[in-house]
Amino acid sequence: MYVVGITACPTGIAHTYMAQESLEKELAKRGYEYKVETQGSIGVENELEQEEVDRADMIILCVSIQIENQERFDDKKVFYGDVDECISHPDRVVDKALEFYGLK
Amino acid sequence: MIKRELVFFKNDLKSQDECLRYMADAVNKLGLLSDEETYLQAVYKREEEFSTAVGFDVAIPHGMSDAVNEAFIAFLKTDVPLLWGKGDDAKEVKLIFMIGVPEKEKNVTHLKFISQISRHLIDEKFRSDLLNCKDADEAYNYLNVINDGIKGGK
Repeated sequence: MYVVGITACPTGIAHTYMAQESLEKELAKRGYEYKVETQGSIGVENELEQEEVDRADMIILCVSIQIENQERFDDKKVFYGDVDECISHPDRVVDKALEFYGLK
Repeated sequence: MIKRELVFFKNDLKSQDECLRYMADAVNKLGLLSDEETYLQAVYKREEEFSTAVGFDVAIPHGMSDAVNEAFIAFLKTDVPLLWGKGDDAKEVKLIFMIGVPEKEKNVTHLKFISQISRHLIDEKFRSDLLNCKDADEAYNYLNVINDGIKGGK
């Protein structure tokens, strides 16, 4: 299972990075391969290449703002999760994504 | 990166408002703000969008504003939980990280420190170390460990 994601919150100061850490931990715990991009105050970090997006089994976007380079996801099935839920209950976010993709 | 003068242990604060005011006053006294009220307005605006109580006893009030001279993190621990947020969404918090970032922050090191500390908050051990420490000096040492993490990237 290969999962790509992006986390981004309005000010890009704290939640963006907490959500990334939390999501990565949950995906690691499940033994998935993953890459999570952040769009925050420092700009875009750990940027997802188109090729990575193309081969992903799941795309999880926990974003509460308009993100940059959204076109990478054109014509793709994308699961949108809640940033705050991603921080406090990443397990629920991943479960919902699995359900959304019919992988559960 | 985190200043010792901005690490507090305080058990006599009664509310979120008191806590925000207390911390902003301290930050202001160190000359990190050009206008305390404007900074606090930014913090309140963010809280209104959505409470920054993120669970596990932690709140991270923050504001991005021209009234911030230099990016900072202040930390306050209270053994008496404060109710953070409004109505049904309100949560009890004991660890408060107050963050300020100038509107046009050029210093990536500051921003990296803040992102680093945010990531650490997901770490249960880090949180329990902070919850269990006895005084501000000890907390300061735990917080400062994060400085090492910045040099090596994420």
